[in-house]
Amino acid sequence: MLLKKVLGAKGYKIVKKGIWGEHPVFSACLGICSALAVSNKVENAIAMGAGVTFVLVATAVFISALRTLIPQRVRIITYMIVIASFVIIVDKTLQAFFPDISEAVGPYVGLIITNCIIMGRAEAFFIQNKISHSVLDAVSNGVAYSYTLILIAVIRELLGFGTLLGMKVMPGGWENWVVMTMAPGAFFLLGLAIWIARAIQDAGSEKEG
Amino acid sequence: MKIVRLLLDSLYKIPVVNKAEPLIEAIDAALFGTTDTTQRGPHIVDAIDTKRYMSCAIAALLPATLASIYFYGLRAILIIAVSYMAGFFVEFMFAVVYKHKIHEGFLVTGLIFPLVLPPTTPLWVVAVGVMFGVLFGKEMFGGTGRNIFNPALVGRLFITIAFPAIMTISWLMPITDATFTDKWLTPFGDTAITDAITAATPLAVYKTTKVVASFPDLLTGNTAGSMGETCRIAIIIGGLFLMFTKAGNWRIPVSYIGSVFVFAAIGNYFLPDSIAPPGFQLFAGGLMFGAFFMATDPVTSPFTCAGKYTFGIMCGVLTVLIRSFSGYVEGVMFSIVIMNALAPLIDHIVLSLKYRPVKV
Amino acid sequence: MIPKYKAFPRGYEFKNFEGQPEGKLIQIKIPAGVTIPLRQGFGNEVTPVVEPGQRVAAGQIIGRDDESVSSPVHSSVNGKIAKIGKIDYLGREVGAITIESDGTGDWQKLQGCSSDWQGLSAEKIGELIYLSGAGASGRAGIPTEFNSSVIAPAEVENVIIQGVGSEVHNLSPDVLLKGEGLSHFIEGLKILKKVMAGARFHLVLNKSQKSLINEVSQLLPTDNLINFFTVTPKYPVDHDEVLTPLLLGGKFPHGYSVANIGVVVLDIQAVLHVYEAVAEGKSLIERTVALCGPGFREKLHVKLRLGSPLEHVIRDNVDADKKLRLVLNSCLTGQRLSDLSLPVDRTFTTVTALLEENESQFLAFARPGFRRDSYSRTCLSSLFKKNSKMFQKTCGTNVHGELRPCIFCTFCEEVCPVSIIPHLLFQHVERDVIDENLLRYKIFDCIECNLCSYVCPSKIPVAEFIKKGKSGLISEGFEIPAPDTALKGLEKYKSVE
Ligand code: SF4
Ligand code: SF4
Repeated sequence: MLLKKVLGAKGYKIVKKGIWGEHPVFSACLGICSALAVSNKVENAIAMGAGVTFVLVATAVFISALRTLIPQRVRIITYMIVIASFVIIVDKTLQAFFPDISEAVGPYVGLIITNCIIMGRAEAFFIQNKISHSVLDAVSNGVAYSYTLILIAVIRELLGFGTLLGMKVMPGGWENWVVMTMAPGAFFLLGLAIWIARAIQDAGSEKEG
Repeated sequence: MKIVRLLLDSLYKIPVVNKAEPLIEAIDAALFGTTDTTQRGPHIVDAIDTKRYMSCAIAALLPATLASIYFYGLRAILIIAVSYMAGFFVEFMFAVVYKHKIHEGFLVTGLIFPLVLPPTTPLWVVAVGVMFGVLFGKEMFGGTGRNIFNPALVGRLFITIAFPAIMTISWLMPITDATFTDKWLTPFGDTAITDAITAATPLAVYKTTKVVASFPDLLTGNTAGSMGETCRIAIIIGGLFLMFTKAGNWRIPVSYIGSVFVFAAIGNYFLPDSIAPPGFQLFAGGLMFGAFFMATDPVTSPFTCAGKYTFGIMCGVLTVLIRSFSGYVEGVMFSIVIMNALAPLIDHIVLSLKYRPVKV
Repeated sequence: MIPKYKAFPRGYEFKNFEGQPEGKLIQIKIPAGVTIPLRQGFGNEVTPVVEPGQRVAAGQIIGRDDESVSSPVHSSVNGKIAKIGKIDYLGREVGAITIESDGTGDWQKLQGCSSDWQGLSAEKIGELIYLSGAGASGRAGIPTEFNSSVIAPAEVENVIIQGVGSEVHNLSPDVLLKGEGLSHFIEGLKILKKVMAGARFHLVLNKSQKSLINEVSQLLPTDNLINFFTVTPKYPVDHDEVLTPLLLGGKFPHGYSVANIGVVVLDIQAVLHVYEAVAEGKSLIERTVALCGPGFREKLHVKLRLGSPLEHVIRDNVDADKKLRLVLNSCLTGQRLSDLSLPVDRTFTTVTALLEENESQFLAFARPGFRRDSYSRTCLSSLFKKNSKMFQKTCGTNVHGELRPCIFCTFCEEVCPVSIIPHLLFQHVERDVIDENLLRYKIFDCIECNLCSYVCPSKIPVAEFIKKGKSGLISEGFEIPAPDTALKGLEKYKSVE
């Protein structure tokens, strides 16, 4: 309950909602396309998760700070510009420091611009709330997205390549599950994850209600 | 009998054990039948139930099963056992979590699945496949009766994509003349399998060399192929039994096999280079098995009569096309799965043609 | 005259079930007291015309109502009126007259009857039919000039006489037509022909009753006034809704009765009643009923006075220690008779005593099923077509399995006599989708024969769901689609409750 004290009641609620209750992937099915595309290896997933979280936080700060200044009619364009700027920063950073990952993740970094989670949160939350809450929301959504991605990536990399972060972990004679390296594998796993998560959420809400 | 009854009754009461209530109930129901009586009309009802229905499907699979055991020995028994255990595990977990009864459908899935596998399939792959099939082919849609795809086929296709290396190259000639030890005492079959002649299936042979396998070989199963698919005589006997007991509708196999014959005949006449002769197509590969035991699955095929014929004919066309013009040598399973997906649409079209919408 | 065979492609033939009534006919003693319901068979309830304490003779009219659509009821015994009150008749409250009998067996003749009926006018014959109570036979009565049916004799276009018997247990026509019965039956046909002179007549018999068919075809008048058919006794071929379209073509007016399209359907016993009324002056005071099913000690036919309590009829024939379920007229659609004081009335044809099978059977699903009936051929009994005693099929009330989701085996669709798709309808109703789609799939064509529930391997009460769907539709304001043909006697039809 330390967390609750530090964040305040509202802040705690925001974090809880972002990480679990209104999980962007499980509950809202946002950001699925990138989750399917880059979850084949854990390192890609980590990079992608970090990138999205970074862009989310930065966008939150900007949009939230400017929320009284942005004219209603051009707000979507404004989001785009802000998000695009940060995405370019992420892309260039990756290219400069992690060229391998940049190669593998490729166009998907650029596509963070259109990642529905960022747009969605900006429209639904950042534009209406003060900076601190927006940042909390951004972080929790970013974390939620990242852990989902990493979870799926761990399973896919283990089964599909027999490795974890590029290290061989499966015993010799391990037969790679080719399907896991392809998009269908990600579909099955993501479907399964959403199924289980919803079942748990339902069970939880039944208990509360 | 009394003792069993007492034992079951007490099992219901033991605190921890009765968590497995679906299992106890399933055993109870299977052993003792029901004590329920009809309430309103009809006062008497048909003696069939889903258990009897599914048992007939299993009985129909028996000849093919026995043939595969005769050909591959202990190995075949192990594969079937693993398939049943893993499939049952998934079914059981779902029955516990979702608090429903264990349905009989998996008994058939658990037997069809191993019969369409190559005899060399590693046991863990068998388990993965059947679990995947039951999970994604059936439970995900809400259990028996609601599934869109045949669970056995879903499992089989999954492992075909997941483990192409295992699933496409390792065919075996039936080890009919292997020694007793090879067949029955080396369960993991290392010697028996490595020693046996790895061979291509008749369809693969035809694709590369245009050589047609001999009919006696095809009929008795003296060719390479999936465990239960090769002995066509056994399959036909089982299939006829299935249709006689009405546990499988005759319309689908008849139209399926018939259309394969017709289209292969037409195709072979015009394009003899790519399309195999009709007689060979009928008896090669998994056509017989697929047509009798997989396409007839009532849940995943259309329920209207016209729909059933359409389903069979389109399966036949797709099978001939895939066999002749695609990278795969065999197209039975793909065509059935594709048509499974189309079955609701076929029914919808048939119904909307037959029943005009009413104006209210 | 050679009969023509009519094929009925659907339905289901119940073969070789145990408990068929034998060809024996016994007369049941006149009971000490009878209860005569004031509404028996087709028509409205009639008003009593006697007082408590009054002496009545067997065959005397004790209730009639010449205004509304109805037929009179008679005292079936000689004796004294004990009480005029109400009874619960299968869930419906009906007025009833209780009569103490003096035990004598003679009966009063109807005025003006004549064994030489040819000399009577059609009008007079109609009156005799009306007065005798035979006019209440069939699902919509025999049309006479006296309001016994919803239509007048002149409006009748077709008369169908049927002795098919497609139920699990049937009254044997042989018993009815034994000895003089057959010639009486033929005479009865001719009498009806005289009343409804404009109508075409059709006679349908069970294909398997070869000797009866032979005899009848020799005796039938050769003037081609009667079409003679045979059918395979596939349930429910002898239900009006199925038989009429099968023989005459056209469509049954669902929601109405055959009389509304100018058709009268009668069974053999009704024709005999007509003969007895007109030629012998005997009112409807006696009836033949078959006691069938494994629960009876002796399976036979009984002739009894109407109004006898059920208990009086079956008393000597059942074992007290057996748990029985008595069913009226049909194992598939019949009502359960739980009250043994219920009087036997004009609507009784068979009473079936089923054993309550609430015992489980060890490994029931794996038994070969030599003596089990199944639409599918999963029971070995399907290999034995012959009527051998050894492989007679048992009939009890066990449901033989657990409720499961529908597996789309389409058995219900294959047997449904009116070619609708029961499982489709039931799935809609089960999911509470009660909308015009049900109309589109012709839910109101269902004749509630319950055959779909009978064959279902998943033990789903399909027919019950369909009934629920129908009433749901009606309560939501949908209407039964109107038949395309103009209907006759609608006013009167609606006046009958
Ligand atoms: S749907 Fe109606 S008519 Fe058809 S079988 Fe069922 S009860 Fe009989
Ligand atoms: S008989 Fe029962 S299980 Fe078969 S299709 Fe009809 S409702 Fe479904």
